[in-house]
Amino acid sequence: MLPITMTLRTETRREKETVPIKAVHDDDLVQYLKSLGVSAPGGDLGRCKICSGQVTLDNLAALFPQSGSIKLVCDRAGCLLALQELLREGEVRL
Amino acid sequence: MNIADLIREILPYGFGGALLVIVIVVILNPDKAERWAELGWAVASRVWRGADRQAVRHGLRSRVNGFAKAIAELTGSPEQTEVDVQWAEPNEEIAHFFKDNRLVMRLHPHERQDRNLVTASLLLVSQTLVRRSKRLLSKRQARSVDLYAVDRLLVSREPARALFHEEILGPESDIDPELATLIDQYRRMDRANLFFPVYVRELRYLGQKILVKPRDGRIIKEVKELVEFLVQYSERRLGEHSTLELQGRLLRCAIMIVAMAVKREIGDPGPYVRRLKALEMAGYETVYLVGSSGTENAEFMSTIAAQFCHGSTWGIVDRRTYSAKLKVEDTFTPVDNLLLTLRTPTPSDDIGELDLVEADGELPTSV
Repeated sequence: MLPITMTLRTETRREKETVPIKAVHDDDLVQYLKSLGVSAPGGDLGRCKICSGQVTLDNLAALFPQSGSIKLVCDRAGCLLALQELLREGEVRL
Repeated sequence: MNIADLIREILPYGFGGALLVIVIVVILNPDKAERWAELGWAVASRVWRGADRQAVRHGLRSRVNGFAKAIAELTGSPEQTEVDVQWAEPNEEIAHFFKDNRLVMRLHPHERQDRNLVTASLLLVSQTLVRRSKRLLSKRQARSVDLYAVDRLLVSREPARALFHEEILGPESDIDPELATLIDQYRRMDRANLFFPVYVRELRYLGQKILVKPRDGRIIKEVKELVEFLVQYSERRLGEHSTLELQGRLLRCAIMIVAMAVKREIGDPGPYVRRLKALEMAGYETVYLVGSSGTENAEFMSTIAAQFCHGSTWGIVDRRTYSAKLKVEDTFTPVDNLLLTLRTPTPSDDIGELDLVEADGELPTSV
């Protein structure tokens, strides 16, 4: 048997990248939405970009700018998965 | 000197020593340090509401960043993507919101951290895990990879995982049976620990190829074949011959089982090395050497890999021991395995159908 030792060849040096997730805490939510002009008369913030359902302070999951307006996304499973897709496709960024 | 010995040496130096121990532990275990910070801030938030933001932030960092590190190692990724939470200014001006052009996630107070974790994991995994490769797959394939990865991420936090199952994975699987089938296939291949170290790694290699069109039907078909190939391998019975090679236009990998006691006992790696050379000549780009992690077999596998790489440009890009379940007759039995990943440094973009080559001979597949 040949006396060959095994060495591990790392493909490339691993680099750490930090993605800062922009977030709004519940405690700041009402003030934040107010500053962006997303009013909540009777708790209704607008329509979900994905399912067109009503978005309220209770079910708001995320918001993002698109084509000059503010898009809201509710916390339904299908809407979160559609939001995932927008991120995968690069249409929305973190 | 191991860490425990080091700590024993330092501790007699009083407060300064204790402080040094804390610094060392934080540097060596950033995830644990984040967890402690989460707990500390969560306690503080009972008397000072402002501490809740820190508890939420450290809680997300501890779970997600630990997972990101593990995934980068398992898939050989050159990038380890971590997260941090950047709180939006409560009085952010609308002009800044548009100029910043980023998604703003809503995060609940720490008492609802499981929900925060589910949402953050979903969004982060979609953007960071083999992102380019997923754009080459069908939407369902891409979605299934992300959902299974999130499921794995949440293993360390069972209540969040239960919430994810109840609100996301379960309903989506009910709506889309083909998605449910893919998730089930990932679970089956993961019994042999193949999801991240082989499947996602192969997807990463696919994403490195440049002459590829997004959502090309052939790529989607090849990835489907890769999944079937890995599931078939994962569920083979001990001693059963199964297909151990996948040669497509873009995905070309093989699994070689090193388990022939006779060859090992006489110390003859020759047949394995010759077979590896045949696979190299046939255009395979990655070979996964799998066998028992027992000392004797592990040494034999290392010898095979080293002898092959010595005579070629290939390299060993990953070496890991892991626990898997192997089908013995009809029962899955736990085994401790070693996986050596061998890879060519010069993968080609697309070899074309006419260039498909059969590798000579057969892989030894059984004990």
